[in-house]
Amino acid sequence: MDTWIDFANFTPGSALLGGALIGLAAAILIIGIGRILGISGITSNMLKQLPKLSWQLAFILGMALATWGYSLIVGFPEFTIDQPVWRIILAGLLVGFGTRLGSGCTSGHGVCGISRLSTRSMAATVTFMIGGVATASLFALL
Amino acid sequence: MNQTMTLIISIIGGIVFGIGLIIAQMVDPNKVVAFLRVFDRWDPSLGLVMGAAIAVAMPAFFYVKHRIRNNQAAINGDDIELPTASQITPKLIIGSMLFGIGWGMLGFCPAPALVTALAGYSEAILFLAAMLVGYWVHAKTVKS
Repeated sequence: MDTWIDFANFTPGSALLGGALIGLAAAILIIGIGRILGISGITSNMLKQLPKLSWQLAFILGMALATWGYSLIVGFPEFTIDQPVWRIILAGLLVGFGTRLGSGCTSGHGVCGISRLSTRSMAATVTFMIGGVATASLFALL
Repeated sequence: MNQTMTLIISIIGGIVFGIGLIIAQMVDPNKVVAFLRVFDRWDPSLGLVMGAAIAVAMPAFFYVKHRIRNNQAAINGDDIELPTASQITPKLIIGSMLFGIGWGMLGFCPAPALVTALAGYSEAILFLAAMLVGYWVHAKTVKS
């Protein structure tokens, strides 16, 4: 039976645990080294400082260790990304350009910005949520 | 000493963040699209991811604001840097809208795309390459 909410795929436990770890990572960075966990900024600043071993590069190295460690011990989730190449490229261009122009993405504005009660980040989050919901809903109809 | 501590804390933060993204299933763009597609077969899971992340991070930000007021540094000895920009500018809104459109088209935002690319998914690697071109186009065309 079709229902509005897809309860069969709803995963509250893993969502809460994963989300708490994401928040913990943001807490570790701001308390530990006084920096915001914002991945669009971290990646672009890492590239600008290469080949220097910046804190941004160390953070991304940590993400790589997590990915490879998880893959070895637990196994990385398996899924298919069944999308045309043009859509992958266009989405990447928009995400890259948009996060730089808007100074942040889901982590920097969405998690850290809202957590420190920044109205600027709240405005950014509401805007990219509206864009994301509208676009995903539109593509679901196609 | 300070430099070593900075790198160790950053690596630990990256590990916790990466595992969080995988457990939360944000690395699967189908899961993200099922959250954003609110009017049809909606999977609300990612709302809980964001809620839990904020619930944990918010006390940390209250705590560092307290440290800043008492002229205390971060644990590694560096000044705590909170963003100073507070203006809601056209750049912020247009950029966030373009980001949202790209996010909704495929279901990848930067961090999960990076993890999924590191796991070897060719679509995520292609996405990441296009994202870097997007960074480059921004650097070449927009004055900061």
